[in-house]
Amino acid sequence: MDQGKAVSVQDSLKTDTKKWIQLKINNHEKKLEVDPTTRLVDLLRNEFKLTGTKISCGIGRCGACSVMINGSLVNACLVMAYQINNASITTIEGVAEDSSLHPIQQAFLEEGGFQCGYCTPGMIMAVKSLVNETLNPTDEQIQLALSGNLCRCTGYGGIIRAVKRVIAERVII
Amino acid sequence: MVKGNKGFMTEENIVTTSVSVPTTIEDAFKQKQTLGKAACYIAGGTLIQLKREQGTPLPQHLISLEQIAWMSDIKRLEDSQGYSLMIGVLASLSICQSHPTIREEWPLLSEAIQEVASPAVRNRGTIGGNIIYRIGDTIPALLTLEAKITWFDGDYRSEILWNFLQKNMLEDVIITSLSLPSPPIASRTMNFYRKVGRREGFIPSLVTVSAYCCWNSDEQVDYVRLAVGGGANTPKRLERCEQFIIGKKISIEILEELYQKVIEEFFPEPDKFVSTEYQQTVAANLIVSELESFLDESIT
Repeated sequence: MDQGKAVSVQDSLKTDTKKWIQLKINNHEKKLEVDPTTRLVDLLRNEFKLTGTKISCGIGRCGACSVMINGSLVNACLVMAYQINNASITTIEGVAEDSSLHPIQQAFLEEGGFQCGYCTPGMIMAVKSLVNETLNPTDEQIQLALSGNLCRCTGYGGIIRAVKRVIAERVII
Repeated sequence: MVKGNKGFMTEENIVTTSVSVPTTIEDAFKQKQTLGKAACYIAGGTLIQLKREQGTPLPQHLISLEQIAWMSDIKRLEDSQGYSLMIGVLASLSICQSHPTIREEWPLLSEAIQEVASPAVRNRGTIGGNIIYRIGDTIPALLTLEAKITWFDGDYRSEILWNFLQKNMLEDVIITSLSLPSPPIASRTMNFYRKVGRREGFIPSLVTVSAYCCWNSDEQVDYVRLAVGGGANTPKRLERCEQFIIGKKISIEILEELYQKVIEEFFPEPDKFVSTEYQQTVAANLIVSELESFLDESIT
């Protein structure tokens, strides 16, 4: 393909970059016009002011930006806006039930499952995903489920205690 | 260029990439041919996002394949020759990893996928993306399972994955599916997949090895596939090593020879963390120690 033709096609595409998307965030319908390649984490934090979802590595390594799309755990830094059209997103702000903490949040609180707290929203989303999918996870399954969520305070002892408490109490999620 | 964690909603970082979402493979291919190097296919997008964050700008146009529904299918197929498994390349890694048929009949693949990234990444990343990356951690397992790959370049074409990886494919082509043949039947079989990284979990591999080995009733090896990868090296079959052990009974002496032959045949590029020699040694240790465990079982 000759370069001149390619450039003219690219130029024509520049006029059509914004897209309307509609989605549910924590059960609230939203519709907005957006650059389709905007990262979900930036949409959540900058457009919707849902700053519970944290940003750290930006490459799906740390898990600080973990959220759920249609009930499936994802890294919000690895998802683009066009990929969430018609999707249902759950963030840490949507986990609590009415005015009380979710049992996972309560367990983290009572078992010392956080220190600086930066990784905590992502950790809780990962634990929620685990207990949603696995009725009675083994130690190995807990480790695997949290393998993509890093705590730089290294407070894993309290985190694992919190997860085990949630499981032991057979919380209905 | 995207600047680290600042995101790209600031004025200086506004991205002008457009995205199209064709629903047929023919439309996707036609769009790529029209746009040429200005466009790139995208599916789960995890690899493109990783590269974007590392400084590779997005192309001006992304062609999303996600709405080509049949490319996510996983089907067990049967014919007069036997059975096989067709895996659409858009199937997510997590779907493949937990798929009952894969876990039951091709567990090596399920085991390999569990070593790729984290659950959240596997929920988005696709098996096709892991292959097209050309250094994905599933590739050694797929090589030992004798996977075939099908792609579309105006017509559908198929080839053994190992041959496919040795070619420079045109960038317009779309890989569409993988096919796993039924595992070979033998008196005894063993297969393994081992990945070594800089830490125990959730880390790109330094060395990955995989093998599928069958013995006849005389305890001679009558079928073997050995594959190695890791780091920035496209995984490869160790064909000379395979030839060496075919027809032989595994013994300590054979394993000592095999150790040397792995080192002679596997010649990976060094990187910032590991030398060629280190990768060779680890690969040889892994392969020989796994086969030695089979020898131990035979004795007991």
